[in-house]
Amino acid sequence: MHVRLLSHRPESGWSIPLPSELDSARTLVLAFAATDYGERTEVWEELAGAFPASHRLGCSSAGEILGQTVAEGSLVLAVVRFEHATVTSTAAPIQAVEVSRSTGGKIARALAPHAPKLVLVVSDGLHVNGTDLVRGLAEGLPAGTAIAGGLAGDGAHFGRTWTLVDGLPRSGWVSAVALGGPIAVGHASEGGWQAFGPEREVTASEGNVLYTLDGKPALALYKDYLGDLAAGLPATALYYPLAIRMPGEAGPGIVRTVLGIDETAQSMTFAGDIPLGARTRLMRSNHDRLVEGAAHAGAQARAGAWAPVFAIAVSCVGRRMVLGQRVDEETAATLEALPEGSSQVGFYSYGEISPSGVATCNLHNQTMTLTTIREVAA
Amino acid sequence: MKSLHNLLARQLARLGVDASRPPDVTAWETLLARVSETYADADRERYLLERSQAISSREMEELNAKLELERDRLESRVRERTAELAASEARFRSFTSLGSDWYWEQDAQFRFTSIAGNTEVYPGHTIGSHIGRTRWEIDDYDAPAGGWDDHRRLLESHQPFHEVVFRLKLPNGGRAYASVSGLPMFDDEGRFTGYRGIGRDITEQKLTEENIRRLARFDPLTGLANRTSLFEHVEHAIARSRRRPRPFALLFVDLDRFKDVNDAFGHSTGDEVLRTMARRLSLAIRAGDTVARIGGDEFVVLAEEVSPATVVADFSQRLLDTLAEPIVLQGKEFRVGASIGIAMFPADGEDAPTLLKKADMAMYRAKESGRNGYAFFAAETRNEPQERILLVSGLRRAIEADELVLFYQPKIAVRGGTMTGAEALIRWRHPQRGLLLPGTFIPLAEDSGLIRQIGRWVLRTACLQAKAWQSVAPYPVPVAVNLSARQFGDDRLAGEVAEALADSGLPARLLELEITESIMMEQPEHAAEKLRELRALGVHIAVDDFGTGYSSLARLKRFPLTSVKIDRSFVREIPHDPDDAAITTAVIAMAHSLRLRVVAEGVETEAQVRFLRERNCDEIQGFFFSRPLPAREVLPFLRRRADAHAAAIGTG
Repeated sequence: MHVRLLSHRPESGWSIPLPSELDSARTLVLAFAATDYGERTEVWEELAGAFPASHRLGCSSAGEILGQTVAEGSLVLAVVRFEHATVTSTAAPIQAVEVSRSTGGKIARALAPHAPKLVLVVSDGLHVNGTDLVRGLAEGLPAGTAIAGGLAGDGAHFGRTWTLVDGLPRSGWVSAVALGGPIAVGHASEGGWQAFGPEREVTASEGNVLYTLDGKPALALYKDYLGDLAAGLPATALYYPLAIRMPGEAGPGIVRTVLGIDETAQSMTFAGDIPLGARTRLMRSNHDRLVEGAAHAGAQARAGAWAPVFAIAVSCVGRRMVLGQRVDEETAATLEALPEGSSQVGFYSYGEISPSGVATCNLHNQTMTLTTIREVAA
Repeated sequence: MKSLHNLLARQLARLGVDASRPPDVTAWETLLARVSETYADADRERYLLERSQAISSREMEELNAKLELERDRLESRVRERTAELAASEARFRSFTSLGSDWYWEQDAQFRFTSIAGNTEVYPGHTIGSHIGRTRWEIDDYDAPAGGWDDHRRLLESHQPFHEVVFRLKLPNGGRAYASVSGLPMFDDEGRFTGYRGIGRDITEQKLTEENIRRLARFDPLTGLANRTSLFEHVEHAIARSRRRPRPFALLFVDLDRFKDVNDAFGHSTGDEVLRTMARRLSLAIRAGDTVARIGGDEFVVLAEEVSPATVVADFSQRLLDTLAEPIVLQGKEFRVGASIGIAMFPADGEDAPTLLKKADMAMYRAKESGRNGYAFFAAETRNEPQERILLVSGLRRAIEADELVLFYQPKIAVRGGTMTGAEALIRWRHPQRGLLLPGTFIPLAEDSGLIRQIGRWVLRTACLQAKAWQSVAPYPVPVAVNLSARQFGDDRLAGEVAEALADSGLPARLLELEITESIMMEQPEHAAEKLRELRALGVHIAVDDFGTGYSSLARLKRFPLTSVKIDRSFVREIPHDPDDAAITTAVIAMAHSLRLRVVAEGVETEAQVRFLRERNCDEIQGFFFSRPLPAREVLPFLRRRADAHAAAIGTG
C-alpha cells in the first residue's frame, strides 16, 4: 500500500506535485475541501487528468484534516494505491429527503456484489436523512461489512454541500467506494460529551425535525441555554448536542447534532431522527474530554496493528466549534495513538458514519470517528 | 524563558514563529489574533458552563417544586382515601359485630380467605380457623345427606345461594346448625374470583323444631301415640305395602260408658280410667301393632299382621274382653267396655283419612248393634276370599266332623233364682283356631247357604239335648234357639222345626225360638204369618234384642209371642242411666200387660238384678249368673241353684 498526502490552497496551489505515478485501477483518491472548491473546476480537471484510472471520492467539509493539522478554506488529498485490494466506486442522487433509505439501498446493491470489506460513503450533508441513509446501506450490504464515512459539511454556514460524482463536485448526491480483498479494517467512534440536567420528552417531532420538548418549543430551550450566544444559531446549537434514548432502552443512547433552525415553525433540524416519545437530555463537553475521546478512538481503531495504517478521520463540526483554537489537539491525539509511520486524512462533517458496537452501522454526531486500513497478506 | 502553554507553543509553531525572536508583522498579527481567539474560547467555555449550570439548576428547582406539589396532592388524596376506607371498615365491623352472624369470603377455589363478625358463636370451635381450607376440608362440618357433591356443584355454577343448612360437630360432642348464604364475586373482566356471604347459627331453632315435632307425637295424658303419630304410622304401613302387598286393619275403639264415668266421678277419675284403658290396650296388642289415642275416649289400633282376616275378628274380641273387664272406681266395680269399628287396607280405603273414617262408621254400627262389640266396615271382610273358601269348606266339614258344639246360657228366675231354661249358643271347635264364636262363621254360613244345614243341626241338637235333660232334671227345662234372618225367611222353617221335635221327641212347649225384633219387623206381614205357623206347632216364641228394632206396637200386639227379651244395651246402663231405666220399666210393664214374659239379657251387676227384681222382670240372663256353659255343666248348675233356692225357702 502506497500512501501520499498533499494539500492545495487557493493562493499557493499544490503543496507537492500530484503523484500521478500512483494512478491505477486499485488506487483510491480521497479529496476533502472547503465548500468554495465546489466552483474551482480547474482543480478537479487537474485531478482527473493526473488520476484517470483511480477511484476519486470526496466532499465539502467544515474543516480539512491532514496529518494532525486542521485547516480551512483548503483542500486535502490522499492518494492510496493498493497492491491486492479491489476498489469499486458508485454514486446515486437523493431525489428527496424522504427517499434517503432507498438511496442507501441503491448504493448498497451496486457495491454488494464486490464482496466489500469496507464501504466508504460520503453524502450530501443537508438534504438527507442520515439515519435512513445508513439504514438503507446497512440493509443492502452483507452482514459484517464495515461502513464508514460522513455527511459533507459547509463550514459553519449550513448552506450548501457537495460530494464528488465521477470526480466532479455535485450537490444532492451520495458517493461511495467499496474496498475488498486482503485488507484489515479498524474503526472507532468516540464522543466525550456528557448529558446534564433534566430529561425531556420529545412531544412533537417529524423525522429529523424537532418541534417541542415536554410540550415547550425546543428552539426556545436552546436560546435560553445559549443566552448571548443564541445570536449565532444554528451553529451555536452545536454546543448542546442532544442525547436521545427510547423509553425502556438502557445505555447512553445516541447523540444528535443540530443542522438548522426554522424561526417561523419554531423547529430545529437534526442530522438524524428525533423519534416522538424519545427521552432527551442536553449535553456538554469541554476540550479535555473531547481530546481524550479522540485519543481513545485512535487507540481502538488501531485494532492492535503494529504496521503503519492509513487512517480516515471524520470528526464533527460541533467538536470543532467547542475546541476552537485547540482543535488540532484531537487530530494530533488520534494520529499519536496509531502505529508510527501511519497517515491520516479526513474532514469535519455534519454527521459521522461508523460501525457502533454490535450493529453494522450508525449515524453519529459530535464524535471523532476513525477508520484504519492496511493491507494484509493475501 | 518559562515553558510556554502547549497551545501557545503550537500556535507559534503553526505560524512558524520562533519563541526566542519576535516575528514579522504579519505573523505577529496572526499570532495575536489567534491568542485573542484562544482567550475568547476560554471565556466562551466558561460562560456556557456557568449558564448551563444556572439554568439547569433553575429547571431542577422548578421541577422539584412541581413534584412537591404533586406529592402533596397525592398524599392528600391518599389521606382521603384512607379515611374513606377506615370509615367503610368501621361500618362493616359494626354491622358484623352487632349481629349474631359472621361474614365469610372464599377464593376462586372455594378456600376461605377471610372471616369476620361473630366468629366465637360456637364454644370451642373457632370459625376463624377455617381460613385456607374449603368447607369440605373442615372436619367439624358434617357432610350433608348425599355427600358434598351437590354443594360443590352449586358453588361451581357460580350462582348465589340462600340459607343452606350445615350441621357441625362441636368439641363438647354436641351438634350445632348453621344457615349459610353466599354471593359469587367477579372482577372487572367478568372472571369469577370467589364467593362471599354470611353465616348464622340456627341451632336453637332447629332444636326447637325437633322438640315440637317430638311433642307432637304423643298424647300427654296416656303416653300413647297421638293422631299425628298414628297418621305417620299408617302412611308408613301404606308405603311398605307398596313394596310388598300386605293388608292391615285400623280398629277404631270407642269406649262405651266413658261419659258416665266422667259425669259420675269427675274428670280426674275419668283421666284415670283413660289411662287404665290405654294400658290395657297397650298390653293387649301384639308386637308390631300401634295403639294411639286420637280424641276424648277414642283410640285407634293399627294392626299389621292381619292374615288371615279371621285374626282381626278374634283380636278385636280380645280387645273388647280386656276393656270390658271391671275397673274399681271409688270402691265400686265398674265395667266400661268399648265398641270397635274395623276398616281394612286396601279393601276399604287406600289412605289414612279414608280408612279412619270408615273405621269410625263401622264403630258406630257396632255401637248401634248393642255396644261391647265390633263391626267390620264391609261385612264381607270378616273373611278374606281365600280364607272364606277355606272356612266355608271347613264349616261344611265341621258339621260332619262334629266340630260344631252348642253351649247353653242359663236363664234365671228373678224370684227364687232357679234356672228356668237355657239359650243354646253355637260354637265351632276349629281344629287350628280353637273355639270360634258365631260372629266369626254365622255370616259366612248365611252367605254360603250352609246356614240351613247348620240351623237344622242346631235345632236337632238342642231338641235332643233338652230331651235328654227332661229325663234327669227335677223339672222341665226349656231350651231356646236363635233363628237367623235367613232361617226365618225360609219357607221350610216350620217343617224343619216340626221334624226336629218329632225326631227328638221333645215336647213343643219346651222349645223356644228367639227371633230378633229387627228380623220380625223387616217384613211384618210375613213375620206375623210365619210366627202363627210356628206357634201353631206349639213352640214358644221370644222377640230377641227388644228395643233395638223398629217395632210398631200395634203390630207387636198381633204377633203370637211368648216372651220379650230386653236388649242388653238397655240393661247395661241401668240403674244409672235414667232413660234406660225408664225404658226397661216401660218394656216390662208393656210386656206384662200383653201377658208376655220378660227376660233381661246381659245382666252383669247386682244393681241391675235388684232393679229388675223391683220392676218385676221375670227372668234374667247374663254373666252375673252364668256364662254360656257346655252341655254337661248345665244340669249341675241347675241343681245347685235349685238347692240354694230350697235352702232359702227352707224346703229340700
